[in-house]
Amino acid sequence: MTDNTSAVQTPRPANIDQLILTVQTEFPDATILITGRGRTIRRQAELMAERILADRLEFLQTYTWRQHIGQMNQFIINNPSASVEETTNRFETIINQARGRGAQISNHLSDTARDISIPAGTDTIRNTIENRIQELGASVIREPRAAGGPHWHIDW
Amino acid sequence: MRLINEKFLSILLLFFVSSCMAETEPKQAWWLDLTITPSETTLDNLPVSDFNKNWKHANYLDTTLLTKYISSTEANELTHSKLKLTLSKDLNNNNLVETIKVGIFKKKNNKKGIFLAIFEDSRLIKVFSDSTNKGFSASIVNNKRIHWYKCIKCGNYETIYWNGKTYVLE
Repeated sequence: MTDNTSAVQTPRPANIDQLILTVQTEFPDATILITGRGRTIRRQAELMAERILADRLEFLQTYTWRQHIGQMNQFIINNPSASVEETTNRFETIINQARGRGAQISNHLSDTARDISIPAGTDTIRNTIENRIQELGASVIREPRAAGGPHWHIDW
Repeated sequence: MRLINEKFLSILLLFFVSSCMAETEPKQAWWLDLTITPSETTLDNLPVSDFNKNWKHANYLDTTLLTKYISSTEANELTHSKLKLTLSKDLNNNNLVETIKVGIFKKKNNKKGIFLAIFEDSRLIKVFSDSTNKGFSASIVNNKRIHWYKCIKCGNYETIYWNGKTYVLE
């Protein structure tokens, strides 16, 4: 009952960044920082478009061969004068289709997840912060032994 | 007197606007904000155009360069992590050691980005670049695979491996 009341009183933030900002503001002593961001599908498409337009053969030697890489290659062969924007638009569609098939595109791809520094403070404070993040509508994966360094992964 | 009052009000307004703006974006770690302007035209005695024909300037990232932009406390976060700016290991089992170096580049059109270069026996054999990130990257080798991180204390990396013919992104 208390949880339901609390959920009603706490409007869901507009996006993952606003959620992190809320937590940073509410727990200033925890000195939480965003440590890692995902890359949007659009930015991934733009990066791949830049790479293939710079050097198509180099592009083919940059990525592991997969169906979506073949589709991108075919698009450039069929549209040799395509602009960066036209290529990006097409690649965005190709990436979305590939993701729909379950293909791996990039470990970076997510606009709804952030990594944050582990909040400073006691276990009690950390638990309180984790509960607050959940209350705001995200999930927390604690990664104290990650190869890239200890952090919390926040999924929106 | 009126001029002083106007100046005072302007400064007050500036502080107010600044404080409002500061609250709209969450605070993030230095490696996500790091911006370094590349300055070198050669790296390891190679023209940067050997790394990529479209590049104008580039620099390897090293502690000396980084500490011009970040504090020693911030630099310690990298030093105390497993991430490396340069590392060496035989990654394709040919008994020749690969050296992996990360850096930053600026293209002839002034677009900036980061790169990871792979040398084998001191010979440049592959360069990966990423213009969606501007300032920082580092790497770890895990089971003959390079994990190219764009941040510290995070899980975001790209995997580079030897496919039998060349190094490719997974």
